[in-house]
Parts: sequence; structure tokens; C-alpha cells
Amino acid sequence: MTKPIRKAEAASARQWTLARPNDRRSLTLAALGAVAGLLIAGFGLFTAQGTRTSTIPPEDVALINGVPILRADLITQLRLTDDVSLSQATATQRKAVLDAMIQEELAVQRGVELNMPTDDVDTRAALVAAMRGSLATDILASAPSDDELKRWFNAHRDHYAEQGIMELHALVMPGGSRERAVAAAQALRKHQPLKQAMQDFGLRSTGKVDDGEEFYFAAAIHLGPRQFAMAKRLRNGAVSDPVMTADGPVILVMLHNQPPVPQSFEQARDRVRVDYTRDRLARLEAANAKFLRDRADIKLAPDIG
Amino acid sequence: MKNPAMFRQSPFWTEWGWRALLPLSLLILIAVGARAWAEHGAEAALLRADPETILSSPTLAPFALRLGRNTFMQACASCHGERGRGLIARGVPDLADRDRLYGEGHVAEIETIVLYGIRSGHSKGQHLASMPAYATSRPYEAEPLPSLSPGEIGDVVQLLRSYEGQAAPTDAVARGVKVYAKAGCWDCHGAEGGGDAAVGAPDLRDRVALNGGSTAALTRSVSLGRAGVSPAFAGRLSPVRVRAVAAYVASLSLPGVPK
Repeated sequence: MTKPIRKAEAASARQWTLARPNDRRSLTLAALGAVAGLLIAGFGLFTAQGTRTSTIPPEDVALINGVPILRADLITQLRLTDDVSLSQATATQRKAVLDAMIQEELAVQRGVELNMPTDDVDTRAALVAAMRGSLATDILASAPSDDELKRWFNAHRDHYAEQGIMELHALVMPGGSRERAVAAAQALRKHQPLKQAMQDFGLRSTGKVDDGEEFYFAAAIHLGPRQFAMAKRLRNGAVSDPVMTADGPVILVMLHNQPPVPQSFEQARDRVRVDYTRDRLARLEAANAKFLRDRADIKLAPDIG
Repeated sequence: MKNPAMFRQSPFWTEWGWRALLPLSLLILIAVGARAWAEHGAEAALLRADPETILSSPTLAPFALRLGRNTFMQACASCHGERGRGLIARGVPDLADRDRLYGEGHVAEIETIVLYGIRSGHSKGQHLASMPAYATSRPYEAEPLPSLSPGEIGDVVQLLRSYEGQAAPTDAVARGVKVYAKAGCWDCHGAEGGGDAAVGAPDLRDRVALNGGSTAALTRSVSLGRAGVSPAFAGRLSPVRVRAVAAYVASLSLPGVPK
């Protein structure tokens, strides 16, 4: 029984029967697998974005010492300089724009060689600005969710209100006494006509708030902090107590006072987004500054540090 | 493979299954490779093409629109909506109308915006101007502009309403013209309110209001300013996806282009 079996096994081995071990088959399969793996890896390696090869990637128009010039940037430049699209541009136009871009890239690379980032003030300022910009870019790339914005809004509700508006007269009594100013204020509170009271008590307008309605911020600037604090508390038609100033006592007559109206989340949404983003940027900048300091080798002179 | 008995006892179809494995694997590998190569070729062709010719190309357009729509859903739809119609309540522009805030709707212009953004922090992005907040003590950070009083804001809003063909008191409109000049609105929006697509200043006469054309919305815009943002996707999306999504966005406002 053994002889026929061995014969059959030998025959099946010649036919690459899977039931029999076969060195040649194993090596062939292993080699095929290795070649396939290398092909896939090579394809991935040499076509990955940012990979520098001897060929120019399709998204670029030139590689200058390995640094790409983007096709999209060339197209933008053509539109800016000659107002033409890529296919509308003549070969001369394309060459002129591309030459300028290559020249710029070469100048930048030479600048780096010459240590401009260390020596040149403008380059340093531009680098700092670009670094900050890149942080902002990172933050803006991920839009905050509504929940995040609402949390921010709820924590800073006081910031989100329409500007208050007031319309008032500010009357000064040049060289007048406090007592006389108090009498004038009382007369106004008793609804004496304004013109009459001004005539009777020698009052005149300060000229600071005679432009009709003003936003609170403008009234604060025009009146100064002390008078503005008093004005904010006055209701429509109310008359203030005299405020003593270098020019004489001042009386405020409030015509219309509309305090700031709180905004809803939807009304304030875009301001909330801006403020939230600014806050994130500030925190990211602080974290980035700490990271840079932590990893830096900073040595301070003993007489300074 | 060490135990031939195992195979000897295997059913007939298992034995043939193993025999078919090698050619099948090779076929799959070849198919995957061919597809990847074709895809790579299509991507390269898309990137090397003049962006303005993509939508009229029978070979490039279907590939660009398919990839562009896919990218749009991932990167843009969360703000602009699935159909790119925007949202007035949030000042998100409608990409499917023919009103352009920046540029003239060229694919290349859209591609630049996708790459570098609007007020995105990227130095190549669009950030030349934004709408000042005239109801504040310092309306604009970039240059000195006068604050406006509530009355002046009311007048300039009436002027804007008249620009859009809405009823507005003539005396307020006349005052609004003076306020428009005093506040420097002409610097971005033009002397006649026609806007400037180079800086993203909207046309005030085209009846398309980015944030709504009601008196309240216009008052809000003039009082507190506006500064919409679009992120920069350079380095976040591959160049081919950027090109494809730009072509897709351009197609949204073109009738007859299958989306």
C-alpha cells in the first residue's frame, strides 16, 4: 500500500498540490507578497502630500530646492496681475508671473541662509505675526459647538447688551453758588420751562451733549465719569442735583434714558463667537508660550537673572 | 501545510478554494492597483487643469463634483448647510445664489478662499476689511473712524432701506447720505453702495442682505459691526479635495450642472 501512495504524492507534488509542502511555491508566494507590499508602500511613499521627489507633484508648478510653489498660488497671481485664468494666460504671462514667484522663493531661502530671522527686525516681526496667525488658523479651523458658545454666553451675560441711549441737557451756572444751583434744580423739577429757568438762574448749556440722543459710551466721554454716573441713574424727565465743577455747578436734565437692553443668545451669537475665539486664542498663546519656554535652553546672565 | 492528511480529508471544494486563492488575490490586487492608478491619474488631471475649465469638461466634471460634494459634506456643510444655502440668522452666505461677496465666482477664487480662508489668521487669507461697529467708542481697529449717534445710525439705515427698494422717509435718507460720507462707508461699499468684491464689501443695492434686510438687522450690523469667518483648509484638506470642493461650490450657482 505504501508504494502507490508515495507515487501519488510525488505526482501531486509535481502538480503543486496544496496538500503537499512545496518550497518553490512557498518562495514564489512570499516573493509575490513582498513585491506587492513594496509596490503599495512605494506608491504611498512617493505620492503622499508633501513628499519631495524628482517629479513635480500635480498640485505644484515648481519645486525650488525642494520647496513647492503651489499651482493655486500661480493661478491667483495671474488673476491679480493680468486678470486672466490659467488657460487664458499666454506663455509669456505665465513665465513672467512664475519667474517672479521663483525669484521671491529664492530670496526667502537666501534670507534664511543669511540668518535674517535672527538679524532683521522686520523678518522677526513677520515671523512672530505669522506664528500667532497660525495659532488663530488652528482655532478657527474647528468651529465651536452651540453648547460651548452658550456656556460662554451664560458666563458673560453682562457683556452682551445693546448700547444704552440717553438724551439730556447739561446746564452750567458760571460762577454760581451751590445754593442757587439747588434752587434752579428745584425749579426745573417743578416743571418750570427750561428756557425760563435758564434765563432766571443764569444757566447755559455746556455744549457737550446737545446733539440729541447719544449712546452711553459717547455720553460717558462727553460728561466725564462723575456726571455720567449721575446721569445713568436719572429717569426720563428727572433733574439731577448740582455737580460742582471748575466752570460752576452743573445740572443734568434727563429727557430720555434707555438703559442697555440685554441681548438673547441668538442676537449676540456672532459677538459671542468672536469673544469665545479670542479667549481660546489667548489661552492657546499662553500655553504655547509656556511650551516654548519649557523646551528652550535659556541661560540668563547671573547679574540679570 | 505540515499536515497533508488535513488536506487529504478536506472536501473537494476546499481544495479548489485554496487553488483559486492565489489568482483571486492577484486579480484583486491588480484591480485595486488599477483603480488607485486611475484615481491618481484623475486627481493629477484635476489638479493640472485650468480650474475654470473643470465644470465644462466631460471627463473632469463628474469626478470633481463627486469628490467635491463629499468634501463639502465633511468640511463645509456644518455652516453652509447641506445644499449650500447658508443661514441669514448667522450671516452665513448662500453659496447657491449668484451674489458674490468675494470675487466673481471663479473656481480659482473659491479655491483660494478654501485654502486660506476669510479672517482665518492665515496671512494669505482675505482680511482686508470688516464692518465697523459704529455704536462703539472705537468703531474700527484698523483705522480711525467716527462713532455714530443713534440718530445717525437710524438715518443711514433708512438710506440702506432705500437702496434695497424699501420705503424710507426722504428726509432721513437725505441725512443718511451725509452720514454715509461722514462714516467712511464709501471706502468699502463705494460712493453708490455698489460694494467691492475685492475686500468682501457687499453690494448694498442688490437686495441680497447677508444678515437680513430688516431695520433691526441693518441697525444691528451698523451698530455692532460684522466680521464673518471662513477657516483656512490649507494643510487640512488635500490639494485635490480643495480643488474639487471649489469646483463643486462654483457649480451650486450654475443651472444645469448636475450636483
